Amino acid sequence: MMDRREFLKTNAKIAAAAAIAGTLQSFPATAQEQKVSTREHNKKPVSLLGFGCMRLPMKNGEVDMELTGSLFDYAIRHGVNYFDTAWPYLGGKSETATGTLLKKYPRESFYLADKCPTWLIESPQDVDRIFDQQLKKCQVEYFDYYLVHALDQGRYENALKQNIHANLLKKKEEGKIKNLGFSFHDTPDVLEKILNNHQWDFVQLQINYVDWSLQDAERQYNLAVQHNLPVIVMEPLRGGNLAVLNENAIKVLKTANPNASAASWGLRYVASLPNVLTVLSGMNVMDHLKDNVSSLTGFRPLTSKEQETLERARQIYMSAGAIPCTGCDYCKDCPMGIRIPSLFAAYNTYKTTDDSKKKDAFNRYYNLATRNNSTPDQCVQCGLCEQHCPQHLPIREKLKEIVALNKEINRV
Amino acid sequence: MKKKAPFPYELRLTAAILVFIAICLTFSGITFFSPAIEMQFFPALDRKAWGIVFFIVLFTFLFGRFYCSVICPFGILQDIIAFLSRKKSTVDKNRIKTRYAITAIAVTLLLSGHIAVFEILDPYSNFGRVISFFKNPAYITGLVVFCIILFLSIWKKRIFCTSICPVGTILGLCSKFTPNKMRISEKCVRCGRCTTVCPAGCVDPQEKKLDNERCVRCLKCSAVCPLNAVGFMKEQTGSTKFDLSRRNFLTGTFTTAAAVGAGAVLAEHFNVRKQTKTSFQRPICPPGATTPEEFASKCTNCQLCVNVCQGKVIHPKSKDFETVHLQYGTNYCLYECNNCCSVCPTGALSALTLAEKQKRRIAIAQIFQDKCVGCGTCARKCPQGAIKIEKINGKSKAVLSAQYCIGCGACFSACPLPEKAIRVVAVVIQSTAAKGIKER
Repeated sequence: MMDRREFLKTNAKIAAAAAIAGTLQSFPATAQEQKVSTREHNKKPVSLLGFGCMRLPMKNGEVDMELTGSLFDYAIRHGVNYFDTAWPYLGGKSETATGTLLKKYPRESFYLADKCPTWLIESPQDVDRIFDQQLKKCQVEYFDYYLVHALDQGRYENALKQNIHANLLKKKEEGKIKNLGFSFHDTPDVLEKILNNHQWDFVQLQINYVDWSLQDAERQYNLAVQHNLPVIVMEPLRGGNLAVLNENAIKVLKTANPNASAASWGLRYVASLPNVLTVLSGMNVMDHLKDNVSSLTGFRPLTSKEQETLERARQIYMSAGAIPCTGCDYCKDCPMGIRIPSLFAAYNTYKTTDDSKKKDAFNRYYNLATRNNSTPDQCVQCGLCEQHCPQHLPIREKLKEIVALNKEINRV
Repeated sequence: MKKKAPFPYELRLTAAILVFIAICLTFSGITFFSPAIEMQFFPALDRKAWGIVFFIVLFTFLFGRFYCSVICPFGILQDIIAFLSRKKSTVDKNRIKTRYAITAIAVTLLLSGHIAVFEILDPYSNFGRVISFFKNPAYITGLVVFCIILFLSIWKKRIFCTSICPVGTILGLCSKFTPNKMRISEKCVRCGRCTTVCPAGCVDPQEKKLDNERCVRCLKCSAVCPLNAVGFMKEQTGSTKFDLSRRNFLTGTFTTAAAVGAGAVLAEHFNVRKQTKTSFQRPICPPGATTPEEFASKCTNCQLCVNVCQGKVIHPKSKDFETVHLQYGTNYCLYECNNCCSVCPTGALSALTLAEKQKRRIAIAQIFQDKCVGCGTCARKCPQGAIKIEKINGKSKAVLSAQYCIGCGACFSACPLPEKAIRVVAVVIQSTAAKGIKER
């Protein structure tokens, strides 16, 4: 696998190539698009920034194809070549949109990643059925990267029972999957078991400077390094939360570097890990895409001084007591229709806003979240949300807290 | 004196009786005969079965409103009442304005997503309500409908069909412009027998007129005519021309236009009411509905599901719930039954297979640990194996694995405590549960 030296070598080569190209051609700098840095996997370059398709822009309940198309075009023009989608994203609309929009590019010019929804697998045939449907939805003949989706202890047991790994290995032999891996949300012990039990080509982990300690991402990453597996990073910004942080944390970052966005700190933090192959970010606004592209173009790892600054910002951010929800919306099938991420956003807004504006901010978010008449007090404690939450949040407890908070601040 | 009834009339009568019996049998739970219900015009329109709708429209255009006398159970019911009341008919007014206004409002509302008027006036659904009442006198809506139709059909036989029924009006428009009309020929001596038997009041031998728009094709006129002077025939010189006087045409058009406007206003009113309605109790809809709102927008409250439900757990719409809904108590939704969704003619319930229905989550159980005594009755009763008895702080308690729960209510009915330790709450949108655990 790629070690630091190789990585530096690659970068040096690219820099050299760029320099040569620059001297040979006399076009103005703007005509030559600056490209995102790459890392090698199977001797092929993978862009350090990967396009996550879980949060594509929506319009009237459908994927906004126009905006998504221009985002994709911009990303590809700037060297992004890794696209990551999955069965449940956007209620199944992500795969279709991604496939449709990538169709105009030559198949070998991009890497497409898709995932097997383990929780829907009730018999070995389900794997084939869903896989074939995914190929059709994405309009491709094969997936470059295919993942067993969101493994944790319970799902891994089901995956074992339904023999998912062996089934997918067969597809790899048939050439329908180029690289087989899994995405993971549980403790390092479970990760170790899964890594030891099967042969994998890569692993997808949730790494960011908050989860490095909060969810033991450090041990998870190290396990992947021990197994010599490239790491694909998801949630580098925790669903955009680390791009917003809060006022005081932002102040720390801005003092250190007035030009760098909070998001760029987060991306560079994970990209500084040498075993990281690509960093997935779900970008649905052109400005975010541009910012992320520039953060990882001509990439340079965080210096130790920058690491210290970021650590200070992290501590300030964590002390506010926000719920570490990434807004992935895997809990969207609440039988009572409670919009959990939106309510958590209300709670977090309350926790991170100045005292004078706290109440109004909370109410604004709360009213938006309960527009469908599903208030948190309707929770029947079934716990389906917690089964789906990749962050393993105590959602039911937190909803009770929100009910109490709502009562408290709206009585006063 | 009495003429032997001709073959077409007897065929029509036999067919009508057979269809009527088939529909009654379906309502009593023998779903083998449900094709008779799938033929119903408005439910077919509601579930977008365009093939059936097109067939009925085309058939009506070619031969007239046979639908009303053979397929429609409400029409046949009126014929039965009229037969028993033995009253003679007279020529009736042609209430163009009334029926066009009603239908235009109904259609406008339907197109803007409100089923309201059709729900109240659809003949098949009204028949369903009547039969529901006779099976279970608690469902009082059926009694109201029955009294009204009893009064109307004793008073003027098929006045509902010719002046009120939106389905009849639509089909009437289909048969109005057909070349293949029933007519009165020159042979007619104006004896008037046809008028006395015509349930629609649309035969007028004095004027030699037969209004094909209102005629329900009962064929009684041709059956009683001693000279065979009435029936399907080519236009003859001397016979009446198709009568669409300029005035009638204008009245019809104006009424329709005005009613469309009124319908649009009503639709707006319904929209506003829907939006401003903030607190409501969510009904548990039968399996196959998605959301209560969507269900309500398609269900005509015909109560067929209420009647075929083996668990007797489905109830018609009531004061508390604006749609057909499930009420758990001693009854619950039986695991091995998918009658409701397999018979629903309107598409309000999609036709789930038994296996699909067994995984359909229509509600979800909530166990109150503080009340539960851990007896395990619910766990034994749960068809999905969703409940286990576990030790919590040293005490046995029922614990729910929500991913298996389909909200059938078996646990609730099983709970022996007078103050149940379980409640079953409707979901906002029906979803698929995990396949139940077999080993129990």
